[in-house]
Amino acid sequence: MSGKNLLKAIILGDSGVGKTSLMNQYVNKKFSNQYKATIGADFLTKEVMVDDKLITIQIWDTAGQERFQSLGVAFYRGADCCMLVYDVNNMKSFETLDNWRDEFLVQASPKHPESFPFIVLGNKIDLEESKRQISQKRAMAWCQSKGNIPYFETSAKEAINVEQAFQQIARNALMQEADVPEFNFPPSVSLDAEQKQDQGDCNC
Amino acid sequence: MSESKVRLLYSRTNVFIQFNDDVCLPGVLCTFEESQKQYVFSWMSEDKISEKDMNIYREVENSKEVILPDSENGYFVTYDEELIKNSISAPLNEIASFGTTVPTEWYVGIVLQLKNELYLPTFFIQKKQFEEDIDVYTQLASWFSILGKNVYRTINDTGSKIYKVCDENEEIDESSTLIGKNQEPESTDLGKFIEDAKFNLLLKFSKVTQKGKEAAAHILGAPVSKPLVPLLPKSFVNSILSKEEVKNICDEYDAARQYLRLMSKEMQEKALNAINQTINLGNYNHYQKLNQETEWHEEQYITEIIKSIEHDEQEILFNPSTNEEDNEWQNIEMPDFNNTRTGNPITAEQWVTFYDNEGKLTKTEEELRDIIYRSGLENDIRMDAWKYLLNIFPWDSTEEKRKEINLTLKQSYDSLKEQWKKILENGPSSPVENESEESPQNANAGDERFESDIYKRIMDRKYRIEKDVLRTDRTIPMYSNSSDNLSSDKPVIYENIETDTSEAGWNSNLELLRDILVTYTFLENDNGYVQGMSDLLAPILGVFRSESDTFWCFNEFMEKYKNNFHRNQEEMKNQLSLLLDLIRLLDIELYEHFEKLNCLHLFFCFRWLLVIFKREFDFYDCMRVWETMWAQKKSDYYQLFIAVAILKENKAQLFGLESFDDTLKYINNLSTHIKVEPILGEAESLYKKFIYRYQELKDRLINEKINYMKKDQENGVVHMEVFNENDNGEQQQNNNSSDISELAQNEILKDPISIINRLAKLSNEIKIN
Repeated sequence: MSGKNLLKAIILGDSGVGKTSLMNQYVNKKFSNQYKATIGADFLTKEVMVDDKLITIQIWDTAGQERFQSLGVAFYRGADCCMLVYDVNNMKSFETLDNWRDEFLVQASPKHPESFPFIVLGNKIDLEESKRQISQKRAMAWCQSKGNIPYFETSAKEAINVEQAFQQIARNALMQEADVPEFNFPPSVSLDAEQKQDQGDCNC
Repeated sequence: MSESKVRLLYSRTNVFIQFNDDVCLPGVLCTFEESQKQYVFSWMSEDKISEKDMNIYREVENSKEVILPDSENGYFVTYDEELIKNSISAPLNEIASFGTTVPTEWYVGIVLQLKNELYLPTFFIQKKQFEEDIDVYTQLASWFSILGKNVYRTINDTGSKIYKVCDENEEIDESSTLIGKNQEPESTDLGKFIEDAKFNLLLKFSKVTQKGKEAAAHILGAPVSKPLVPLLPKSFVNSILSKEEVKNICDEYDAARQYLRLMSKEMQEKALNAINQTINLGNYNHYQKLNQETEWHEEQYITEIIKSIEHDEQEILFNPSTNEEDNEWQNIEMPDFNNTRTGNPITAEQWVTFYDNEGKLTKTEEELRDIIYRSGLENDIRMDAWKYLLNIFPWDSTEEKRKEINLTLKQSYDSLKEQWKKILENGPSSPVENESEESPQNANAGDERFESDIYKRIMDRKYRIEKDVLRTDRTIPMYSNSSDNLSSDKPVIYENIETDTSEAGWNSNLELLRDILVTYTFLENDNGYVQGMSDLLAPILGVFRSESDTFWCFNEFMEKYKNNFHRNQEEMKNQLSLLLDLIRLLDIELYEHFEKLNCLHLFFCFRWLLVIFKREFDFYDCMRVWETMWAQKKSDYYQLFIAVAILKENKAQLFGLESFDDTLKYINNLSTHIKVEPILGEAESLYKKFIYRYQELKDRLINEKINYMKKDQENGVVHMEVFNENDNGEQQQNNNSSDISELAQNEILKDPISIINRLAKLSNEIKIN
């Protein structure tokens, strides 16, 4: 098993789909419908057990408006996994998932884009069924077409599936890491597993 | 000259010179008598010195008996052509000044400047066990002193302090200060006695007997010999002077030592550039190569220049000299960096006194701007004063005129709002949507699509706006769930709102926010609604409570900052890069810290600049920040001075953070915990400091450039720019130095990417000539 114990996860999706709420529900077990719109970026960290291994997951929450994504480069660097979020009651937020995924792959430029761990969350399932615009079936079909991305329907407000979704992405990221021993650094540089987690901060 | 011998006076082994980052040559630094009374200061490459001679060098170095120049005895070493080729030497009389680089744990660098203004390469002297930096320097001073030189502290034309080496009878200019000897040499017998004793003490201290110690204590206690004390071994001095006395004397000396640091790297770099031009250089091909490759890179000078400006400033501010003579050479006038904030916002009672009977302001625009800039406004007069600051009311308008303006604005707003409402009521105009007709902006669409259909466009914007309005300042009662309270009393901010899980309530103030924003995007069609706009609007509605006033004031506010929200984000990038330049000029340590953390992009300041500190200060403090920014006309980028003020305020904590992530987290968490008055005060001080440092940087940079071009010229490198093309096509070379300085100045001042010109944007008071 690899020694990596810090996972960097990026949450992406249109503004107002619930990125900040999902992060806060997962980390702080709290919900508020009054989180301010995220400007720039922020992150929270949480220590979790994944398959008997203690890891720290660092979750990055970014602004949802497209024009701010040019900042992404600084925040996406060294990402281990990416969560794409849309609002099941808003068609547009689902239609833009493609853009978010492509943009992420361009900016983060992971070594193995085809196998990079993504996860899709359809959020706000707590609202009444009549408001729903995207069926589970349609969402799953999209996920399948993108290389079997795992799909979860969540409610940040009611804490439905939030824990499970994060657990899943953490597990997938760790598996990915085991498959691809090095992500960002040429293998000759980083021999010490302890150093690897600092790669984002490296200033050499 | 094949086998000549010279008398060796001093020697120091393990002295290195550096060609580039990785090649260091060991050698010997020495002084010898070339011919009668002609002394030469020299570094010789170790591998050219015979084993026999090496032993002599070591012997002289370690000998407690120092050879006096006048004496006949001494050690002789070979000084042949081969050695000359592999040495860097200068006649002692050619040495004009010296200084040291910032010492490391193992080395002290010595830089010497010659009378022809060239520099010898830096000599890196390896420290011996328990040896202090100061010992190395004082050794050098004593060499000069023994050979009949005086050492003066002075300032060169770029502002750095240099230790001048002069002949004892040489006239020096008034701006220099003699150090290392008594300030006013006395020609009394005692003075003479001390002069003689100095040699004995310096050179033969190891032989001081108990009897001698008493005499020495007497001499060392005399004020004229104080400067000598630090030159002597500590053990010796301690044995004859009380600790307190020694400490006092040494402290004085330590102060002098500070000046040496000024020479630092700046000189090292110069030295490497000029290395090819030194006397007796021989055939160092490396040097020639190095010199040819060295081109003018402004960047390599900036940091060092700024450091030296910072250092000079600190010295003058924190170590103000009480000595008149010192003040004379320190003839840099330090401007007043203090801020002028009053700490007492203008009250309604004060504000009404500014009006005359006609309802016209009796003070001029400049006066009022200055008052508002320094004091700020109490909340209840903002609804009037802000309209002047935001160009709604002319400063000299009468009450009648203002009523008229208000009415017109109300009508225009109502009409705008009416228009988009009507479009929405009419519904979509083109029900059939043709995908291929999508506007080109859609090519890279993420979540913001530019709908070609106006109905859809407004609907889309309204949807986004409502999403954000619902989460804008909901802790402020006028925007909170339960309140329709429109009183202008300062509202209470609810704590722990996060626990509230009820449905987001809609209230009439949120509706006003939404309508104003939709109307704004209807007027400013290109940008559309961008996140952050609702943040800027909320405090303005908080002040005016009236829809049309709020709209027009917001519109004026956005005129100043709408580029922040532009799709290409160029203005944000521009501001972040200007902020970086400013941090560099105002706090080089902070700059180097961010450099070390690999975050010179300063993304952690993005939110500050995008919404002009709306999220960083408390709702009402933010208004104070804004009105201060609007009132001043010093800078179109005053927010950057506020940003540096916040960073400096948190410098100690930031220095403790080791990554971009931690820095971002720390800065995000400052939100609403920043105290407004100290920050605005500091921003004003920083602005003043900026003006001062900018001038310094400009002058010193131009000086560097002049020196660089002069050296190039001496070295036969011809700058294309030095040619003036005549009408008949002939080229004529101008060699005189005034042309060079003009050229250098032009090159720096006309280069748009020069830091000087980038920084010039930060002040409306700076005129580029």
